[in-house]
Amino acid sequence: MKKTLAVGFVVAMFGIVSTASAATSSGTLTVTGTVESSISLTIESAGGTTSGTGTAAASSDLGNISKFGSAPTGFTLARGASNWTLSSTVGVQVVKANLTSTDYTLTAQLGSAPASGVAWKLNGSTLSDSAATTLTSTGTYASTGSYSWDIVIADSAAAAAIDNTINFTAASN
Amino acid sequence: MKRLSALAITLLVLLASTRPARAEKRRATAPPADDSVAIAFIDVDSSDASMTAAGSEAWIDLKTVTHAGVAGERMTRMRRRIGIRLLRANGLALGTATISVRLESWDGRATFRIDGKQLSSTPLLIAIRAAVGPVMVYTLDIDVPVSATEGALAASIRWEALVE
Repeated sequence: MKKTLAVGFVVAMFGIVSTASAATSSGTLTVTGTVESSISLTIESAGGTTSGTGTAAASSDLGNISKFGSAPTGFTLARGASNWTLSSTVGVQVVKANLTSTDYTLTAQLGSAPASGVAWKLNGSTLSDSAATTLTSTGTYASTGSYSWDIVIADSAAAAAIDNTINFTAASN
Repeated sequence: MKRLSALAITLLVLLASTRPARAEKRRATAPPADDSVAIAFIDVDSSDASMTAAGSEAWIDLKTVTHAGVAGERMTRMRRRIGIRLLRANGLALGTATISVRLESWDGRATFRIDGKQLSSTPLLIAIRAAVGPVMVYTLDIDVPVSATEGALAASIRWEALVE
C-alpha cells in the first residue's frame, strides 16, 4: 500500500511541474564580414625639432643651418674640405595586422628634386625623387628600425631653403 | 488489499498514458497561447546601415574589417547597438522575462561582448526581469585581434527570453 501511494505521488508531482514550466522564445543575430590584412608605418624618431612622431606624417625643422654654425637639435655637424654634413637617424616602425608575412621591404624616395649641391642620404644611399631606394628587405614588424640620415651640403650650394620630403614605403614580403 | 493496490496502479497508469494524447489533441486544435512572448530585434542606429532586423532574426554585415588602429593596439574593435523588444502575442505589455545570450556558432576570428561581457557557447544572463514591451538597448563589441588570419568572419548569436 505504501509503495502504491508513493508511485501516485510521483505521478502527481510530474503533472504539477509540467504545468508550471516557463516558456522560452529565441532570436538569432548573425554577424558577417571579411577580415583584411594590413600594415601600418609610423615615423618614431628623427633629428631636428620634430612633430608628428608616432604617426605616418612627421616633420623635422632644422632651423637655420650653416657650415660654421652649430648643429641642429639631434644632429651632428661634420665639416669637410668642400662640403659639410649634418647627420642624424630616422626611426621607422612597421606593424602588421591579420597578416602571416614575417618581414617587410622598406624603401625611401624624395618628394622633390633636392636643391643643387645638396644630397639626402639614408643608410649611406643617396636618395632621389625619381626612384625608390631600398633601405631593408628584411624589416622586422613592430620593431623600430633606425636608419642613418645624412644631409650633405656642398660649399658651393646657394644659401636657400633645402626643404624636402622623404616618402617611406613598406611592403610586406 | 492487493487487488485494491493493483487497481490503483492500473488506474494511474491509464491516466498517465491517456493525458498526453489529450494534450496533443488540444495542441493540434487550439490556437497558440495568447501570453507567449517573442523576441524582436530593433535597429536603433538608423545611421548605421550595417544591421538588418526582421523580427526575431537580425543580421549585421561588417563588410570589410581592416585594422586601422595605432601601433600597439592588439585588436580591431567594432561596436554596434542592438535593440531588443519582447512582444506578447496578445499585444499586452505586461510581465517580465529573463534574457540570456550565447554564441551558437562562430569561426574563432573574433570575440563578442554584450555590455562588456564576453560571449561563449554557455548562455550568459544579461537581463533579469526585463520588461515586456519597451526597447532595451545593448552594446555589442566585436573584437578582431591583429593575430587573426584574414578571411571571412561569421558568427551566430542566440538570444533567449525565458518568461517567468
